[in-house]
Amino acid sequence: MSSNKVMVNGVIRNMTAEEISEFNDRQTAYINGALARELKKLREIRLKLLTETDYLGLGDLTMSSDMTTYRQALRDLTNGLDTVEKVNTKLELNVDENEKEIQGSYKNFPTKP
Amino acid sequence: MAYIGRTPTNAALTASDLADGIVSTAKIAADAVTDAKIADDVVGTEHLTANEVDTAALGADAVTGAQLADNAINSEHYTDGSIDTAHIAADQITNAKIADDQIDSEHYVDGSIDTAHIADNQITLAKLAGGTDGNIISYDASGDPVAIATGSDGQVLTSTGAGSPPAFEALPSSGSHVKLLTTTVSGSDVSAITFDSNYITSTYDNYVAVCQMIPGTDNATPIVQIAVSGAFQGGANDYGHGYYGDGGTDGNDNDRANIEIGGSTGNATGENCAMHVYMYGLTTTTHNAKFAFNSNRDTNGGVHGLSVGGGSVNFNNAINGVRFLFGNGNVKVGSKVTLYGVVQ
Repeated sequence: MSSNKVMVNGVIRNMTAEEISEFNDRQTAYINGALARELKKLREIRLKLLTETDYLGLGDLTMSSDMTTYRQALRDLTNGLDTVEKVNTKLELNVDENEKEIQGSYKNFPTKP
Repeated sequence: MAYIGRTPTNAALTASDLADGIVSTAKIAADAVTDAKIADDVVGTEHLTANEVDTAALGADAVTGAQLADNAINSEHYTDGSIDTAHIAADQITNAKIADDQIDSEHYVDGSIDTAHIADNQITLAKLAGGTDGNIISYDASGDPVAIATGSDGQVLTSTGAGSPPAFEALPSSGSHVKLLTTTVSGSDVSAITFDSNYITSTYDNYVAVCQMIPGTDNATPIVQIAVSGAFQGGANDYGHGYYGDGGTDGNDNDRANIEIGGSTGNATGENCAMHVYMYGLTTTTHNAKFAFNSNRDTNGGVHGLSVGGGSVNFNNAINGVRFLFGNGNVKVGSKVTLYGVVQ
């Protein structure tokens, strides 16, 4: 919800009709883009985790079945995620002993062997 | 028949029958001496009874100035309002003849009151014509008073040299970072904190913004956008950005409508995000403008979050505005951004 105000050079004034329209369009685009945005975030995290174990696929190494299962689970992580709520469930963080979230530690990701 | 003195020589009594000087007053009947019986110019003032010459006995316009005693005509003899301008000699109305507080401004010729007629220290502020809020009075090259236009917040009054009034200008370039403006949102949340072409000028190529911002919507991400010719750019491919975050998160995207300068930020009491944002080559068209940021925040989970990164504008137009906002929602009261110009 716009306050219909903008601060320009330290002075708060009412937004013009054009500015209100631009603000509202941006809010609408943000809302409409929520699923794609959250999925993108999830994929970036997944890509990072897959990249960590890519070297195990080199010819002179043998990937364990647990690792293969883990990597497949990562690839399947986005299956069926058609709402923001479902994506956010995947992005829930583990918490420490003080119930504080641990950045980078995801509760509903497959466990790395 | 009796006669006076002697027997008339003629049948009728003539003047010659009368001896000189013998006709007494009793021999003249009342009201018998007519105007014709009185010689011209012989009635002296001793023949007039005191106070007996009435108005009817004086001819119209017959009393001359010589007939009036000096200093004898009092104001009661003038008809009210009868003394006209012609009867007052030039320069005869002295100060003492004018009642106090009676001369109104209509009696002054336009523009006739000169400096000599205004006492020292008598022009109060209330007597000066109103002006524009924040203007300062100076003098122009002709020596006439001139209003110096109100500057913008943070500007200072500087000399523009001899023969020219001073002007409000940005602080002169000195030091490595010149503070241009500090803005603090108060009273009402705003959609963005903007610096327009009054601050993003060719005086500096590079700028730094020190920001502490509170999102109006929980879990919103701080972003920056630039303006070209006064219009803020938000096309889907106008910017690219990349970042590293706490917990090993990172991201890179070359097709964006803005540059993120931090991560998702909570807006519970006390929560905010703070960052400094370096902006390179905003006003030149040689290269695409670049951004670098270092950001710390409170997440909506109530823990610290870190994000460092940067971004690029995907074109090289001259930039004349920059705004700090959130990807969604408003910028909350209490948010603050200070803009510095970087001297190269």
